[in-house]
Amino acid sequence: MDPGDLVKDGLRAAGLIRDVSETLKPLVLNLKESGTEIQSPELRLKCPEDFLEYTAGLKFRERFWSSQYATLKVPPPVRFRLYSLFPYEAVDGCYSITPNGIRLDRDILKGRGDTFRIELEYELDGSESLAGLVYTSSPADTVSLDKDTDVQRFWLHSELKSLDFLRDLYKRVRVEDLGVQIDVTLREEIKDAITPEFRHEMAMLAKFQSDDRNEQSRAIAYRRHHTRSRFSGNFFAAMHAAEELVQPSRFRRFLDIDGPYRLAKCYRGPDFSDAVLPVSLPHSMVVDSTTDLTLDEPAKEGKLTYRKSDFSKKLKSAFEGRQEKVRVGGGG
Amino acid sequence: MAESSPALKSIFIPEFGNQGQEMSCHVLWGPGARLSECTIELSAGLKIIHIYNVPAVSIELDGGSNRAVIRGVEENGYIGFVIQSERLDSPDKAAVVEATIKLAVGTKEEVTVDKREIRLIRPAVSIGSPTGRLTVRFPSNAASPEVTGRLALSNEGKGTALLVAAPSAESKVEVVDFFNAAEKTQQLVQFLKDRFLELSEDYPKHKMLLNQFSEYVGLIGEKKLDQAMRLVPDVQKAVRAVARADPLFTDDLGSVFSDAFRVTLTADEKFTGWIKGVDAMRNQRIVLLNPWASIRLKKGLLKVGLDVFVFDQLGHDQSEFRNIPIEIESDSEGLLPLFEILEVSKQSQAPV
Repeated sequence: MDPGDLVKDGLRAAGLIRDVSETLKPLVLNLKESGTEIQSPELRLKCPEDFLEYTAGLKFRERFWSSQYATLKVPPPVRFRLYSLFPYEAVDGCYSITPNGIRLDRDILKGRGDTFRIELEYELDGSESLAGLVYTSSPADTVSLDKDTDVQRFWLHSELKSLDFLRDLYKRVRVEDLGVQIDVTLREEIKDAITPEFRHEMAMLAKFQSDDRNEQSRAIAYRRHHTRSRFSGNFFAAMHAAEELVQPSRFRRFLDIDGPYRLAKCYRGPDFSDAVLPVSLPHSMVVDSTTDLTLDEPAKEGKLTYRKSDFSKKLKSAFEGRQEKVRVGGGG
Repeated sequence: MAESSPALKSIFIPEFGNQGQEMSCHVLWGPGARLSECTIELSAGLKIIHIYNVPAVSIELDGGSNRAVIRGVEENGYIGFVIQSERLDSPDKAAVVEATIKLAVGTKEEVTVDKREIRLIRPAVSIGSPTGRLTVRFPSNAASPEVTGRLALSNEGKGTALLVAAPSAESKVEVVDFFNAAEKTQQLVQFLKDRFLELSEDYPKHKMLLNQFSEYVGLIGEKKLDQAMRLVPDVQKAVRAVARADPLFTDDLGSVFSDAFRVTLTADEKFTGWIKGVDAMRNQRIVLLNPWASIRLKKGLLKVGLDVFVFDQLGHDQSEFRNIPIEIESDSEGLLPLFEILEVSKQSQAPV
């Protein structure tokens, strides 16, 4: 292998950064030229949305105001906000976005000092996504590294592929909310939790609702001879309790994160095996943890812990229908 | 860690991973230090595939791509790199990454030698040879058939094994799914195809993946189940990649499937599908991807060849077993799910 091959991925990322920087270059240069002073600028690359946000303090010099109106000659943003610093508040109605830039009304800004904070938001053009700037990885399988079988641990890692930002223009860069995904499989827990009694009850219920009259009448005949259900709990409450455990808001209670990551979102896994599981118990949950990377902290590690035996216990008691009062969201 | 430099902020090398997986690593140091040299040395079976924040001219590779000497960076303070393991002889093996970092701090040189183990796992599936005839009975009072003489299946590895089973092409036995009624399958396939089309309007950048899905369900509709199953790993890999980049899309994709089942299937069909899925989870580390694939038995003897394909969680091919000859003796007509032919043996037991 050639060293050139090893840096290719980084060069591609640098190319993407160049595109991003070029989009915003006229912004910074024009702001400087138009009689304003830029303070503490920050470029934020918002990962899942593919948005660029530029924030800075702007100090207007007298020569900026040649009349009541003055234009910040910048590429028209999708969103613009301007805040006064004393008091710190958004100043509404002071601007309009024109093809030439942002037209500011001096009368409205009068009496609010000469330094403001601006936020400009741009959409990333082209098909490339900001995710291309970052390499993330996490394990596909988990191994218990110690005797600890109550929990499953996953490592999380993300790093910038290039720091090749135009440092003189963009001193501070944040790549925000980039996600690292982990698949937490629940197959074993589900299989362990379903009691034969519960399974039987489900089968009976299914047969009662069958399109096939033979299945239906067989089930009715069976019930006539076995009037007492094999399952002693409340079947629907149990089903509901089990499904509730895999609700994203509920499932995250079985997860812990160590390190500079945030638990962003859980959702049901899209595996093919789910296709045969319409009963709303997915084979896996996908857990999305996010973090921010900056030029000073271009790589970050973290750990996700899934409290497997806690989940398993809760699922078992749900299926046995003996869980403490079912808490139904929204009241039912 | 043998020695450590105070200027060094962190070294990340993962503790474990799948064989064949790509894993990112980093070295970070503070602004008061400059890099003199960083050597990354990997044991056999590991290689470096990407290096970040380093110009090509500052990298020296001696031997192959498992030893890199880095003598300069683009921006001070950071080296990122990605390593990948190969498929190793053992399904559970520790590989070693040794990083030696020399930092210049003022006039001093601080040296850190950091040696770490990465545990690399993969599945290792073995299937015993048939010891005799399988006998199948379809008792009238039970939902599933009674099978004796199953083939022993075991996973000696730590990695999860995903299995697809199908009758071999040579044996010319048709695969049927549990939806049985052809018209129901058509309804389901049509629903899915329509929704995939709608989704590709909402998410033009995932059009290719959606086309793959369409092809997959199309093959199921045409009862070409074994062909469809061969698409599974590719599609799964694509889904995983997309899930990383676009969770919203993944969410929508998931609801297409659940809607399809809700709309198409009656309660008992849903139950059959669901319970077959549950039964197909043979243990923690063996998962059958096509639990609904079955063959039709008549009273008497059927000779069939069984193909079993094994993948890991990353969708990489692990092994395949072709045309395992099987004789099935059935007491009556009925549907035999293919996974009923296989029996998971305990890990401690040696495969036949």
